[in-house]
Amino acid sequence: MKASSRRAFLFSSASSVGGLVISFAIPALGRSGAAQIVRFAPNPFLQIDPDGTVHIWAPRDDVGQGTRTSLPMLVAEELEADWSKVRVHQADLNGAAYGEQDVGGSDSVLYSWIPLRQAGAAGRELLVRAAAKAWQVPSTECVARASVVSHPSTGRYASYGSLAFEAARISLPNDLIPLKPATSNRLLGKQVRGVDNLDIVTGRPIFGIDVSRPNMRYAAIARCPSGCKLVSYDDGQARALHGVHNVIRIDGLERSTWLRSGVAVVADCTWIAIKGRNALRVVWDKAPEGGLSSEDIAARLRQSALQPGTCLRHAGDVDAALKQAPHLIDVEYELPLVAHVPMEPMNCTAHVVDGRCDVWGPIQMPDSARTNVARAIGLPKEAIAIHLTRIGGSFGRRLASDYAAEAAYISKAIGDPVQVIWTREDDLEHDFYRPAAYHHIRAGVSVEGEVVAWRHRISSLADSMYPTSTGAAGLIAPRSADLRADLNDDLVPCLVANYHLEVSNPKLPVETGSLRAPGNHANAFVVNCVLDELAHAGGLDPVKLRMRLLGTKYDFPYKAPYRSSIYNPDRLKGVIMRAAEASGWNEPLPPRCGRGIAAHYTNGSYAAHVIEVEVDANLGIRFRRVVVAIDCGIIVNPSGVEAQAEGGTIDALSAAIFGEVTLENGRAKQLNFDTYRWIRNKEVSGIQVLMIESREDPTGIGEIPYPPVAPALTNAIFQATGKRIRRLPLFRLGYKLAR
Amino acid sequence: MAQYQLSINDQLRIIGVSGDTPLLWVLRDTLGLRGTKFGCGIGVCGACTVHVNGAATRSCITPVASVANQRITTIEGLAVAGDLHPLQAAWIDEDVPQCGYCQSGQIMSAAALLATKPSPTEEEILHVISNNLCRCGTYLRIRRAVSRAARMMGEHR
Repeated sequence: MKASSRRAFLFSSASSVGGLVISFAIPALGRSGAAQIVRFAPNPFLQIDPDGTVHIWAPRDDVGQGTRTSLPMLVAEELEADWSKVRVHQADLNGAAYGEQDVGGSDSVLYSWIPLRQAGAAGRELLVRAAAKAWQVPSTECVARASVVSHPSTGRYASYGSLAFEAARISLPNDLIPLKPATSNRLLGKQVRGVDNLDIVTGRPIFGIDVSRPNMRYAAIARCPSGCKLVSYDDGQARALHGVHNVIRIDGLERSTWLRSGVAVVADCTWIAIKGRNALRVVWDKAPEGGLSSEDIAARLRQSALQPGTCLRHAGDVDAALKQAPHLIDVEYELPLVAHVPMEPMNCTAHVVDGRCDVWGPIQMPDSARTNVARAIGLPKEAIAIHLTRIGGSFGRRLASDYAAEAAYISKAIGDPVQVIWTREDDLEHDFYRPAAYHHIRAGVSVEGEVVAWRHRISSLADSMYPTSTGAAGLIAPRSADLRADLNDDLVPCLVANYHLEVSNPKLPVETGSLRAPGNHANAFVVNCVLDELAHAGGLDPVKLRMRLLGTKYDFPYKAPYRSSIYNPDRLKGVIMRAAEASGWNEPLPPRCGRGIAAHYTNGSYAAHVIEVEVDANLGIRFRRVVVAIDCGIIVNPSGVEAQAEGGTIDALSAAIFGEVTLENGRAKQLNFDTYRWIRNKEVSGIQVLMIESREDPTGIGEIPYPPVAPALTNAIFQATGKRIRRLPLFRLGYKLAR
Repeated sequence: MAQYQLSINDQLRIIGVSGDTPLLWVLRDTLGLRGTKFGCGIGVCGACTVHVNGAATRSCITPVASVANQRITTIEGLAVAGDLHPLQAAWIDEDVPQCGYCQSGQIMSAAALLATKPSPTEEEILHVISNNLCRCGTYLRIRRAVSRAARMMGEHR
């Protein structure tokens, strides 16, 4: 994530004025004249109707991480609203009203923590003052609770609905209304179910792919492979299909995240659009991705690591320390390309008409999507409205909004609203993959168990999508305060006195991007495995080695780009100890069984996993125990945190075991779920989720449980079998899930 | 183009499409029933699961011509007269959905199982629900929700 794009947004108390909204209801049948309805809407997040319904607008969209539930909870907590009377709406893109609306970096709760509670507090204060005014008592004597204001000493009370009319006429002074202390929270910390659950289980059309507009067409696109140009196409067969309306040539832009070149078939239903697209004969100028294979990529990454790279950190005298270290390791790790494959394929609906463009879709980054659309169709940003739907998963894929630009481009060409739909094959072929990477580490540990030297060389495809990212983000300790802080050089070891990190990013025509906890998860894998290797080399317990490493040597005055998230080694130690204790870390294990631990700090929160496996003679893995401990500060919604901890663990397990896209002559070989395997229900074991109680401001949860999973698993396999795993995914090495 | 008569959620619908059109796209685009989801198009992920004569069926690989005059139930028709199916209620109680996209297919798969086997073993449940992919990893809550619904249905028999 780009730290620079994060705008701290403070809800201005000056806007807590009245907020009178008058609208005219459609008159009931048989009656004349319009009834005037007065609504109390003190700020863009909130409106209370006379019947007591509390409307709350979720400023950020939900990709499955639960923000449409957790963010409105923040408003409702301070508002002292009765949660059963709350109706959640999705805010469309409106930066002036809602501030930052792009979703990423597990920061939605973090950045909403102050402004959304302020929005709720402003509403509460106005309602209290309205009651106090009516009762002619000091407002400080009134109490707001569960959508009712009461005056305990006189026993009077009034519902929020009945106060809405008066509250809308009061203005507030500009001083900030104090927020409640965490100890007074009534809603936060309770298990709250997802606000869209009923719509989801009854099949209501709430996702982007469910959008329907009058006269809407459907389009499927033959997209230009990475690094190629469109030479010519024959659309005779496509146009001959009944139901095909048009074939549109798309002239792409400089970057594939903006708009790819291609040929779109526009039809009156999805099926015909796909059939028509498949009937196109398109000629590209050369083999995709420069004709690369996965073996080529691996070789190029290794080769690149032999050349000098960019030094991101150098401390002490690594060579001398390595010479003196009694226990040394010299190891290479390799990571493959991984696809995102969210269940809802890429899709978007747009209508360009009269110099305006409306976009509806599963858009995670509405602000950057608007920029993307504007660029693709040559309209000013002000002429573009982005309407947000619920999103069927992302895992980082929808940080790019290429699919929104496609819809707008085609609609502009045909003049009708159009829904662009990607097939799963399109998704796997034109994904922005998790970058492949090669790591070479030489490190040493003292007889006392101190990590004394660490030389780390990374070669990665990380920078195709985000040129400023090294892809080296997030090792066991976060970025140092003193070096290249603009680069995501989270790489450890402010903790290791003698440390050297070099990174290179060979330029290959492979599209890469961010996958859940980008950088963090890849580097967490390598670092946690290396720590385990060091512990083994020195005959030390892996938990004790980490405790010593994280010791008291540094009180990190670590300034993260994530507001209020000062990295605190004690909190990382806390999750490690909690997971270790719950797993029975010191209990003896039967033969062929192993226990692995890993921990990581990601985007302001902390996670540790202990995974216990049995590995049979045929390399069949059976999970005996999976424990995850999470510290994300104050827990807003325990049901949501548990869901993310379970889901993130399962996601990462699947990627570690099955996740790999292989290229052959520049084309992805895995184009659907038959060959791109994903973990199935029966292959998953129970997961014990432990949440650390905390008074710290809440930080993220969406990405946090992901990074420690793969290394905890491979460290467990090592203990069970004596075999080190230095390359993912496991199934390529012959491992499988036994059941 | 041909005309087909379909029985969908106890309603007769007559549609004109080409016979090879998968039932999925007839439901979604022609009939506007968008609860049935497109996930893979090859019958592997289960997001498009509906019932044909009570049997869980992958609508993305089922040509509409093959189900003319058959009894089709979609997620929109699972609740009867506004009463949620026990699976739908259990899904809400267990707070199963994350992104939610695969869930209608998950529920339809489980509903077909419970219709024929009201008291399935844990193994039988696992076997059936493993046919449906969930990318968010809601698997453990899905198991709990199916077991809960089976218990609820058992208590009401």
